[in-house]
Amino acid sequence: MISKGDTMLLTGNHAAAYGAMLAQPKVIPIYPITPQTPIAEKLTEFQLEGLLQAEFITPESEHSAMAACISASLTGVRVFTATSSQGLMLMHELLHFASGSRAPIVMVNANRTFAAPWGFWADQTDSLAQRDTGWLQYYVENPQEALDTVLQAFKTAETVLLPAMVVFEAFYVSHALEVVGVPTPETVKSYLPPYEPKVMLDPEIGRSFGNVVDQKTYCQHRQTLDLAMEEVFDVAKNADDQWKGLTGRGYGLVEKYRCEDAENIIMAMGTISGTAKSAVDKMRAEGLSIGLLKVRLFRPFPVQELRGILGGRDRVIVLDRNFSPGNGGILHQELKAALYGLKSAPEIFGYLAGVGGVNVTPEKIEGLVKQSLSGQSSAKSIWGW
Amino acid sequence: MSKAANMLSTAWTTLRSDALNTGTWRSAIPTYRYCPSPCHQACPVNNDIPAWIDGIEKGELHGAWLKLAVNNPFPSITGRVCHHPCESYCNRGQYDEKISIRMLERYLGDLSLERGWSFPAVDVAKKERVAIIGGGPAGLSAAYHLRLEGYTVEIYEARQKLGGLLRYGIPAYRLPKEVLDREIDRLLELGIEVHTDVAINTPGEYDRLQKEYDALFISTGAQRSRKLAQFEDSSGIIQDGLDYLYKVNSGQAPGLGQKVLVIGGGNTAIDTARSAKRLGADQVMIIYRRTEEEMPSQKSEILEAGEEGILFTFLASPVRIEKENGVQKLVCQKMQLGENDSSGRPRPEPIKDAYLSFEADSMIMALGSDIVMPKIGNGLEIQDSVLKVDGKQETSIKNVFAGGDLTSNIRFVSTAMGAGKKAAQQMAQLFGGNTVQGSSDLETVSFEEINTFYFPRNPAVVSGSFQLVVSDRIKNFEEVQLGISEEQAIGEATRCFNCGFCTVCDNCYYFCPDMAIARNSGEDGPNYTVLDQYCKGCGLCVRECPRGAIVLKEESK
Amino acid sequence: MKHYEIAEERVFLPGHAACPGCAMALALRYILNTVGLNAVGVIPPSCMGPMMGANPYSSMRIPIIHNSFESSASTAAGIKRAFKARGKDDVHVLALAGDGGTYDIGLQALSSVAEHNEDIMYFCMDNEGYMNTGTQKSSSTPRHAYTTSTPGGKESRKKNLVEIMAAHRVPYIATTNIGYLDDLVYKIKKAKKMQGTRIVVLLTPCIDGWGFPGNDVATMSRLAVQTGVFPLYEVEDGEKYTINHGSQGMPIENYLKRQRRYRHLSKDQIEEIQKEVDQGWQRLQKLANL
Repeated sequence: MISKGDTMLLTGNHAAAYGAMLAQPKVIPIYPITPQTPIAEKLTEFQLEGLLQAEFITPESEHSAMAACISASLTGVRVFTATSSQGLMLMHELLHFASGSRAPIVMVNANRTFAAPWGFWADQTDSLAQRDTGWLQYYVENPQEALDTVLQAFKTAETVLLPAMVVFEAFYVSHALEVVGVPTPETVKSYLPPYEPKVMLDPEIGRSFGNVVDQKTYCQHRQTLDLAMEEVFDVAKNADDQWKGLTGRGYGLVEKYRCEDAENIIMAMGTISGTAKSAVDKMRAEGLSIGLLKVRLFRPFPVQELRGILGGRDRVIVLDRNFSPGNGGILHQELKAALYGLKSAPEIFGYLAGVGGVNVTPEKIEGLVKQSLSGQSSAKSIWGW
Repeated sequence: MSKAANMLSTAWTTLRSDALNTGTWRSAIPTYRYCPSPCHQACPVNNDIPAWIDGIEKGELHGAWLKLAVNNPFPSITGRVCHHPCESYCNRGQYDEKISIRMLERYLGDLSLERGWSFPAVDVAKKERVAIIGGGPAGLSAAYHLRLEGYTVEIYEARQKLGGLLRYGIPAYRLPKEVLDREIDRLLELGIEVHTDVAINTPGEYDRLQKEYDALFISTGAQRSRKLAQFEDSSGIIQDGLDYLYKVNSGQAPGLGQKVLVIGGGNTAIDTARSAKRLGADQVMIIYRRTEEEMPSQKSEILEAGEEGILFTFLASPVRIEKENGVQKLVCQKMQLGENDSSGRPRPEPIKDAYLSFEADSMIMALGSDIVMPKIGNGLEIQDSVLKVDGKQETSIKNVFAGGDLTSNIRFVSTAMGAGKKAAQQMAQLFGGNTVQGSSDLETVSFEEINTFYFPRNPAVVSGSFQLVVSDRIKNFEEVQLGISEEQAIGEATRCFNCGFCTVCDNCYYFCPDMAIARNSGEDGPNYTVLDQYCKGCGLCVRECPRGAIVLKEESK
Repeated sequence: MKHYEIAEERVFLPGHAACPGCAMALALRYILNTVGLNAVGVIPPSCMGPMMGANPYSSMRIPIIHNSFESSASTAAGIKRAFKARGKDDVHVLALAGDGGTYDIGLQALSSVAEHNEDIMYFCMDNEGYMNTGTQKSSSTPRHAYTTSTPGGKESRKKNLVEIMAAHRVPYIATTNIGYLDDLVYKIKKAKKMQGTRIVVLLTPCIDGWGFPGNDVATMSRLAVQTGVFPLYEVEDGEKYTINHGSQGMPIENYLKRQRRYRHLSKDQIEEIQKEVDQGWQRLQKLANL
């Protein structure tokens, strides 16, 4: 039975905060940074209102915040935090530490350009640069998806024991007000079981974590991490399906929009997907066989699913709001690797669209699609802003 | 939980490190050792001083006395009259002030008398019988150690009572008769037959004893006073020192007049002078041919004599007695110190034509004494004017042992007791009993091996001694030196380094970074065990042992 | 004589991999065995890692998390808060860090934890350098000491961590070392009974890094106190200073000459160190209102 809950007008930040509050984390170490700060503020408000009973830690840096997240998580409680850009970069060392610790922390990251030079704009490079840290990464498109994904992320992370990042873009999502369905606490309770790990830091258990291991053990440890990542596809899919069953809202690991018979596919993550939907509608009306594929789960990268969807298409046009100097758009590169060796693979076009928070309009997307229809693809991503 | 979520063991610990072996890192291992203290080695009866002082420190006074009594049944006696070489060697002397071992010994001895403690009963009976001729310190000591081993012992004493020099040579103000009697009585409670007023001085009597007993121990002392040839015939005013002390100690002291001269520099000279003073002599002067430095008597005795008004004239040697207008005078030649003689002291040499004279109502000759050879068989030999014995106190006659002043020119009470003990041990060995476990050739613990951090600088609690005031002293024969209180004794004992003696202080246990020292709870056996599996051989326990009771021994693997 | 009677819970186990005669291992023994089994420890990269033993073995019967170098304090705070949330507020949480992990890279996190008065015990094993990586200087390395990164002797002075932390007004800060086991255990017991951020700095002379004989850690610890280099004292609420064992006026040379890291010193340099130590001692006495 689908429960509607409340409907509210929320920003992405506040929607994420509602998601976190409904998950009832026990420890929240958090450090302020624009544009994520409203999440922290909303959570402390919840605490004051009695909607949340968590230990707040407000340390001197994101690094210490993440350190406390890891140790609190290893002590057997649900942990939530949020950050952005520089903060995420400062955490980098500990992001590895968190996944190596198999600590199912859920963290929201508001994508923001990083210095130098200073800026506050939507750009996914900060989180994509963490793609090798062993965290799950969900890229979401709007406040509603942010709320829903925070809860799905907890469910998935705590099942496979890996940390998860829920990522959305600065301002376009973080500060944009939208109508959001907020599930009831009962709905969430039925969805998300309490976090009860078998092994944790506890004098009654007496086991210690993280000391020096030999090469073989280290290798084995990494291999187990791989296995956990592999399991994510099913676990995350089930979590999404279950959520859909409870709330009517499901997204898939990748979201297909008018892809059924499309010869051409636009591929993107985050808000560009929303814009691209209008562009698809317009081009479809003009007779172009085109659809949109939104990558929602970037880590682990759903290679098999993508190969299944994209095999036999003519073209994929990848729009990257991120930039890896020396190798271009990150989704572009990832997709090329994912489809390598696939018979009937589409031609892949990579455009750097929206880097640094530049607005990407439907017309811009149309232009880039048309550019690809008339040109040859190149290995290199093309600046298409 | 997913499958991967259940595969966590690689980064979580599952085992304890005490299953590992770090003993393989080691090239040396700490070893608890028996290393005697310097005081122990210096003691003529080989008294295990650090052990019983530890007992005092811990307040286990009865146990301490028992440990003390193992080697010395007369702590109240030696606690008063021993020349205490132990203190001269005390390592603490190099730090602040030596431990007053003698006072502690006396404390324990007096406490044992006060509380009526007895020696543990002898629970073995062996068939061999030993006769002891001469019931002085050497003989009594021999009797004690033989009896402890279960042998039958009988003592033959020429005088009325046991004690020898202790009774008849040492005045009561130094060694009260009651103390002497009680320690001797306690000894006799062990079951020793005594024949007093029985002098063994004929070949026939010795012959009988040799037949009747499995071994003899002769300790008849050195009772023949030395004399000066020039005074042989002077009658009336000249007394023999030993003879005088005998009379004093028997309550038959003769009157000496107002002015008394004592010739000599040993303990007998001091004892006679101080006795004469107590018996009413107005002016008592000791005349000695060397200086105070060379006097053989104990320094404390000289000091006390001085306090009591005894006069000293050094570098003077008696020549003749003159009588002028009815006044007797002793004429002495002035001396000066020359080269060292065979005794290692500077030889006194006469200064030509330089004389001194002193008025005297009487004179006491305290020039030392010589032995009287026991009349036993023909085989006995004399060496350095004493009866010759071997390193085991055995004479050249089989199964005849001897000790004390009879066999030694080092004439201290405890030296005599040591000889008695040694002879007893040798006899026991001869009879097939216990073998002697001597430690005299072991190296002693040096001051450098003491970890002084554990001993805050703290001058002696019992510095010097506690004495009666002089005005009271010279009126009678009350004991001059007073004992110490329990509090003082424990305070002084606490200062003791207990060199080389494990006091179970647990420092080795506490200072091991590898938890490789185990404390043993049992009564017997070592106090600690080094755990071979864990000890890395760092030696911190050795360094932190306050008293050098552990050493690091190299291991070859 | 001075006699120790120390009650221990057996938490620290033999078979650990500390160097023979290690002061830190001994300190750890009394920290762990005094705090007891109802505790969780945090160990950043330091000599205490190898000391614990390689996985899957542990020499510590309490759970330990091996955290990142700079985050011991915040890691400990995270654990404590999690226990609080779990209703197990009685679990003691200990950070066990070296001087590199405290004076240098971990100072920021420690400052924050102290500012929040997080309920943890923070132990700094101060061996005055990065000994685990082969003797490099830290901000705890004293002036003129040789390290591999200060081959001519360190030019700057040692940071005064205690005063920095005292400025945070934490309830308890103490200095101690294994030369005075009774003092060490007393302070751990005292800290254990208190709440809030408690900081104990232990001077742990390093046999290899300082260069002195392998059985001398207690002696070196004591010389550091007796010469006034490392007085043992307490600071309560950042205000109340109590000196437990201080300088006995012993010349600094007695301490310096026993260590290889100081063997290059000139007479002037020794005098300079003496002066610094004297000033430090006077300053401390003033703080203690002596």
